[in-house]
Amino acid sequence: MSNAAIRGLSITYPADNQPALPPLDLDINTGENILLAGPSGCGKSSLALALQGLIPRVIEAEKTGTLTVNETELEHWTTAQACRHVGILFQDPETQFCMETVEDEIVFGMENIGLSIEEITSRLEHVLEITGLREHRFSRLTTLSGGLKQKAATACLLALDPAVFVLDEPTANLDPKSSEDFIQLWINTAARGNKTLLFIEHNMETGLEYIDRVIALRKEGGVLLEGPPRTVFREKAHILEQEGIHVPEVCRTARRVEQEGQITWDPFPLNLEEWEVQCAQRGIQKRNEPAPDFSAKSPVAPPLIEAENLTFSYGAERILENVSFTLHTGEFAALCGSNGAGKSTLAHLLTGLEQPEEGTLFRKGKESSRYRTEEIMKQTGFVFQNPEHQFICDSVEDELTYGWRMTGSNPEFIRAELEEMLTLFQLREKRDANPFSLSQGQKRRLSAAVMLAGEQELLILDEPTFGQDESGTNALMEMLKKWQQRGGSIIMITHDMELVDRYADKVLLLHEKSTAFQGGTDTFFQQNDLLEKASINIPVSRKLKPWVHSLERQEAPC
Amino acid sequence: MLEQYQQKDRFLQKVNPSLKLGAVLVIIIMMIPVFNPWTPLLLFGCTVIMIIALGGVSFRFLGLLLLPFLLFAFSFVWIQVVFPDERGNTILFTIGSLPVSLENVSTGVSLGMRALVFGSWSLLFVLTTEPSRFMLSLIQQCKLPPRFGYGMMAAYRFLPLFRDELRQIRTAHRIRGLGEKRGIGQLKRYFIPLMAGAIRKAERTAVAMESKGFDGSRNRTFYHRIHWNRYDAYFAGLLLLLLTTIWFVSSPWSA
Repeated sequence: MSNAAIRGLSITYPADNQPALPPLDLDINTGENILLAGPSGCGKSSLALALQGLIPRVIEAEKTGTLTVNETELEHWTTAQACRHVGILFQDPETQFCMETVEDEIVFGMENIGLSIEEITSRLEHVLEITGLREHRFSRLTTLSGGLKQKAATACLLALDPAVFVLDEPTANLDPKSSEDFIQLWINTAARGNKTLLFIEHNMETGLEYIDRVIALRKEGGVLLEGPPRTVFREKAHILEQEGIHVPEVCRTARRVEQEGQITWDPFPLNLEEWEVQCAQRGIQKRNEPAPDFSAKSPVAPPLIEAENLTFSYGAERILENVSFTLHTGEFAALCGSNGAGKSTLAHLLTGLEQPEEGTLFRKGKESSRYRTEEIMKQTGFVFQNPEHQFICDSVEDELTYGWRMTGSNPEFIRAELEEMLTLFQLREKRDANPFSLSQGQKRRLSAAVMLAGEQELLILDEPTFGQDESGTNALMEMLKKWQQRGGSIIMITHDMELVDRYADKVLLLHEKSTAFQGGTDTFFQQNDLLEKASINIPVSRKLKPWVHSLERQEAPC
Repeated sequence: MLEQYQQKDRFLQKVNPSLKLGAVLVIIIMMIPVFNPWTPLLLFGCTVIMIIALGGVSFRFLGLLLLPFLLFAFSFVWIQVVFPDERGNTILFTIGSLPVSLENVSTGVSLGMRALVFGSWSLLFVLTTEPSRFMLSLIQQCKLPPRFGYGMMAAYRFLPLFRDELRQIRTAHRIRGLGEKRGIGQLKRYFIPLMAGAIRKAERTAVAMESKGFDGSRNRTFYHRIHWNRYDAYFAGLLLLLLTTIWFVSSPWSA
């Protein structure tokens, strides 16, 4: 039975020449779990808003074509009816709420559609139970972590009990552990009732086995391809990758080894467990390749940063305790740890914004307190989570040259450097644009670039890839890599272990306020107990490596 | 800190927020024609006792909050003494060559005390009223359209977000070498990112609210009902008692 039928639907926002969503035909069946993928700017979010009728009811936009859900044209719905049919979960956990406590927020929706008090009470109990939020019932929403906020938002939707759920990149701002919990919650929900689930995701790694159909959209409009995940990721992964759509790590590797003729999957694995079961059936053993040694280059110069037993508190609250580490010139270090482990505070100490209470911080062999704060800030760049916070000028060009103009460099030099920066960070055609008008990815690149437009030696980045899509992340990382090759040193705060594995030379792990680990990336991922304790997941690609090795060593494929 | 008092299970916290708001307005109106310093002083004393005894607010915390009001009140006395409309005849003492007269001090004190009374009643309201209960009461008792009520609630949630965001912007600008100078130019630089963020947040929140079926109409149920209860009767009685007592006690002065 068709649940939603989309016929030639296209959406154009006022003042735009191009439609945000080019004409699209799509059928969604009752009870289906769909993964909707597509490159940034293909109109996925606009589709989500249109599916509930929020476009054009609340958001002004021109809509052509037809959209029917449960055999009703959306135009006939009132606001209260719409949310009984379709529920949307948004990306940003901060801006989905309007009440103070979890209970008030869950109740808010049910009050809106005029449920009776008895009905509200019983549904409230029910959703608190299934989302596991019982103990947070009276908590203030502002005090919850990002993961819990998204669970609270989920509870609000479940309480309204719509038939179709649209999840618009709900895990983009969550750390890996919370996103796994969160996806599991939704999969249980979908299994419980005969609900239709539409996941809109950039990179979904878990829960793929529960997806019935993958639909990929083309940037120019229309459906690129669709089908069950096993077929799509096995046979058409290259098409997805060409379009800039992320293919799950397990599937990508599985496809590669199959094409190289090392194994024939049956069925094609969608997660690590399936992979391992099949290898076990075929009698293939994991083979650990000796990891290349992280040979510390014996440095001649004193390390760029050397911290010894740093301690810091805000008021009475101890934030950091005995943190020690070293960073040499030209190194790329990842700073990891759960939320509230003190990562940002440590970054502030390194930038000179705060002074350690105890312990010493050496910069290039000289005690940090001997430098003036301005000197430290000149040598250190800091990229904030929200790039907009750093913009102070009216055009990209002014923004980039600001640092040099402040130090009074000569115009010739500035012009040459500017051109180089524009090229390196791919902002050439946007040189006259206002920084606030850039796309998310461009803003991010500019915020990193402005920090390097000076005599910086060290760049500190606070979760620079949060909320970025795959191509945005890759572009930024490539630029950082280039800058590193020119002799820059980088410290990056991140939750993304794939990035750590791929780019970082060394890792500094903060756990319970102090250094739990510091050393090479390879060594880091071998500390199983430690990783468990700090709830860090080893990246899938690393877990696959030993399997791939043994597959490659096989004499005859089976 | 504020929430801790707002959520206490004490007498003032149980009174209907609309009634409390009404009481604040009544007090303000009643104080307008009073020109002697004793009536507001008495009322101020009673209010402080009420906040502490019936609202469970600690004396220290209240004192700290009242400090700015005290300074404000003192400024009235100062202005009356230094720049009087007409200098009184009863000179109390002189500061340097400046004569200080009883009449001027008395006018100053009465104006200053009035400011203190307004301040203390505002604090009584703020310290004992949960914002969400206040909003619900406005919608349910004062027939405020839900559109404004819930809109206000959403806006209220933004305040701490703004504070954090402003702090981050200031740090970010400091790192870019703008220093910590405060001036008009600096304000403009904070203003743009703050506004850009605010508009985006407001838009998203509005869409999220609508997606949960909110259409701003009165056509909704209320899970939490703010009822009139006996505490409201006690409070109204208490207020009446307070006002008449003060009226009688202070009538010899006001004549």
